[in-house]
Amino acid sequence: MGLSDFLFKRRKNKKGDSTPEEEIFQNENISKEYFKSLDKNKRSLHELFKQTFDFSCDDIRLGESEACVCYLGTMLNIHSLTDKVLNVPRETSVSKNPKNIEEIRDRYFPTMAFEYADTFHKVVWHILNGFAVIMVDGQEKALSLEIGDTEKRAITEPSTQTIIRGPKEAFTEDINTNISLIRKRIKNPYLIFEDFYIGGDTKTTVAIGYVSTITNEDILNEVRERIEKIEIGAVLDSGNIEEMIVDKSFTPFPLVFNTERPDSICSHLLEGKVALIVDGSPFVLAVPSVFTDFFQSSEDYYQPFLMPSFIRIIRYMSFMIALVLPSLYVALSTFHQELMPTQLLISIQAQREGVPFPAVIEIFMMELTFEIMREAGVRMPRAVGQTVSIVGALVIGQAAVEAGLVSSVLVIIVAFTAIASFVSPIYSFSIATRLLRFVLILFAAVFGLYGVLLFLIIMVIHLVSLRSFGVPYLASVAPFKLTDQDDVFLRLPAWANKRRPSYLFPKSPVKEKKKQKPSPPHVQGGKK
Amino acid sequence: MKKRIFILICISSFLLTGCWDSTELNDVSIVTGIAIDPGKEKRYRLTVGYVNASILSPQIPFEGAPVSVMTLEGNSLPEISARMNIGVSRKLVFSHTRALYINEEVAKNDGVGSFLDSLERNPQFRNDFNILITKGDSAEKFPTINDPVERVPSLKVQKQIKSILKNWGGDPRVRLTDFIDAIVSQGRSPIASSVTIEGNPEKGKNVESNMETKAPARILLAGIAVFEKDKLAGYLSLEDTRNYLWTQKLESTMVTIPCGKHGEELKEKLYFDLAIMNNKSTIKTFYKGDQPHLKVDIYSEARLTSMQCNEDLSKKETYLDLEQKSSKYVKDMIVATIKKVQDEFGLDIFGFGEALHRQNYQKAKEVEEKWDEEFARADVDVNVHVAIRRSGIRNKSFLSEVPANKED
Repeated sequence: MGLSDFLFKRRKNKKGDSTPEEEIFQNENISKEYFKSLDKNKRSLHELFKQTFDFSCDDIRLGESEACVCYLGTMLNIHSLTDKVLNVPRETSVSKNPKNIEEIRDRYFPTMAFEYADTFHKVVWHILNGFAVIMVDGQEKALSLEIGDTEKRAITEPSTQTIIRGPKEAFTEDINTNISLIRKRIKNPYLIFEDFYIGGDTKTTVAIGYVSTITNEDILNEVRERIEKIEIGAVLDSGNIEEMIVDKSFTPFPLVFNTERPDSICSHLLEGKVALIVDGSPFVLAVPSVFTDFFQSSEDYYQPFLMPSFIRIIRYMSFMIALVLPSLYVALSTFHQELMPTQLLISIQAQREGVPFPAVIEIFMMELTFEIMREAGVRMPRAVGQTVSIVGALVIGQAAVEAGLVSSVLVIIVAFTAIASFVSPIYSFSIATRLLRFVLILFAAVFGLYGVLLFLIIMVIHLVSLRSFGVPYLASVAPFKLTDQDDVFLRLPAWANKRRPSYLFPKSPVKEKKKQKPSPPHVQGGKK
Repeated sequence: MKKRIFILICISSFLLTGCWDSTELNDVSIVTGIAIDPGKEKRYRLTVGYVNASILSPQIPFEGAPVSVMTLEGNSLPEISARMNIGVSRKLVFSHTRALYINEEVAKNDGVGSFLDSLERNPQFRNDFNILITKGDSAEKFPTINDPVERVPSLKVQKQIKSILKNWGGDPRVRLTDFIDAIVSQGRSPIASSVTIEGNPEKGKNVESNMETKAPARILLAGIAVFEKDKLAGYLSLEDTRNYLWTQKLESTMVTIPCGKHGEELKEKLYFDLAIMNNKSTIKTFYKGDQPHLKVDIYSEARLTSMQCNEDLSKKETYLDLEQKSSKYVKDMIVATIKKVQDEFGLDIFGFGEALHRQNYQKAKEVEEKWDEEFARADVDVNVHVAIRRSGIRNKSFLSEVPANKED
């Protein structure tokens, strides 16, 4: 614990016993009190929602009492509402007139999910969340019925992190669906989701998920604390949360892992990480995350281990290629001609013959062109998307070379770099290399190989200085841990990978205790 | 404040210092061959051959000379190469020099020491170019001899040397630092490779000579040039070069050995060939009393590549016999070469002196000054063991299965 105490400076937990609604509306001009008088309540509701067309407050009679059903028509399925709430048979017999709200619920809405709202804040909160709130005259509480059934996007295949073998489900925008996708995979009572409501204007639900028997308490407290500290107006995607909770903003490297794959999140949870699920975002975050996480695809674990190990090495290589290849070209061709083999030098020189720009300008031009095309390709409506690729291939690939503006070896370099930068399974990581590449080209143009090396040294120093929720970013490599190497550069077979990463200080560090290496059955003389 | 100053220093280090030594590829000419001749008015006459890269581009095949040469006279190499731009448009880059042709006149009369110093001093020169002494024609002709396959002449020479070294061993494999080490060393005399032009160099100059299937001029390797300190003393033949290499480090070679016992006269001249694949040689120098002894132990693995002898290759004895024959033959060859060097030059190109230096330092110190005389009078003892490992993809030769004529 000594080290983890050092890693996570603990602060006092601010969270009191207040309910989410109180916290949410505490700064706003909404009175808290719920009145016994139906009229008063109706009046204040109408005051609040007066200009909203989808707000309705329908008067009904429940037995002898006056009541009204208030709801936002767009937040619930209006047919279900009519069937289940507005159309309930209302007996008028006096004998069994329900006295309190509990009896009313018991009599008229016995099959529906419900909640009681004893403050006006709660009423408003429930209405905003798509409940139908039944306020009965003379009662101290209102009854909120969950209608649900609003429109949401179906579960589809992941669009950014596709794999060939493995589960094809992806998270959607609905937080409940997302949590159910995780729960379906981890059937464990210790899988816990805590909710937070963040965003002064949006009151977005943010849930943190963890397996309480695995995840380290200090990490968990750190996550809770950082989330509670967030005071922003709007949370529209997990990206908004991500920027508010990272250890350091001024870095091109992503310090928070994001994925739209439930299986990937589950494996992170089971390693001892904390998942952050934001309502409205199909990208779920996992913290703390380290550098090597961004080179691992969940498919690595679904294929026999040899190939994934090889592919991981390819990923690291292509990261380096995407980072340094263009700058190496600049450095070698303008400073260190002696470092190239003679034949190669002659053929590069032959291609550069007649190119009017220095190598730096040439490569900057092409890299920028490529970035522009990439951006255009992403933003363009699907229907015209093909134009970009056709124009791009023609402009970049052929015309520029034929016109003698750039050398053809440069086109190869730019193309190869671009392809290599897409190899990282997590998109936000490949963005980092895109940005650094330009700086590196500048260094190479000014100082040659010396500059490239200088930059790489600075980059490594920066990487070592980074932390994600207190965990060193290069963990298991930079504070080197031999026991963690079974799943870093190589993926050892599942039976050999027995421990959870030690940099997460999991409560139970060992996954499997038994020796499980499979072997053929012992057969003697042809018989078992 | 400190931070600001730091940032200022960082920025100025970019803006004020960078780029000073950067050169774009289209502003340089890559020199591949250098030739040194005796000057008419001044000391040297330097010729550089630099690549005309655009001719070599695969996309725009147009006729033109793959290299261009420029000749200038001066008293020292750096001086001349600095002045080259009076006739050459681009900055000359010497880092890819593949061949240094030295006219034998220069090597004989002036010695090579004076300009080797400037080459060794210059950071541009790599240590991987070939030092070639030109026999016959003047050195300036060498960088101009065209070749249809390897279009840059000096690259062709380099490749040819690499290939011969790998297949037969006709080049002593001497680089700049080896050469200089040997000049300085008391126990070894420097050597270099020598080249000649076969054919008409004037015709070979013309790019159109590439149109002909039989090149009108060709650069040939011509064995070792032996130096006394930095001055040329004489030449050894290609065969001797191979034998020399055998005592040093031979990659592979080919020997043809007569079938009959040594000295025995045969009616028909029959031979068998060995491809030598793997070589180990150790050199020992020692004194017996006052008499220096040179001992070379050679172990070679070989593959039988041709068999004209009428012997049964399916028997072990045959192999032993062949091994014996070839060991003897190779031994005689190598002894002859060493003797020849002893008699003709009296210069220890093999490094026996260095071996003595390692093996008996005291004695080496004593004889250091007069080592070359000691070398010349030394007894030579060469032990060769040739081991025949394989006989190709055939064992018995079909020749042995031809039915014999009844008359015999």
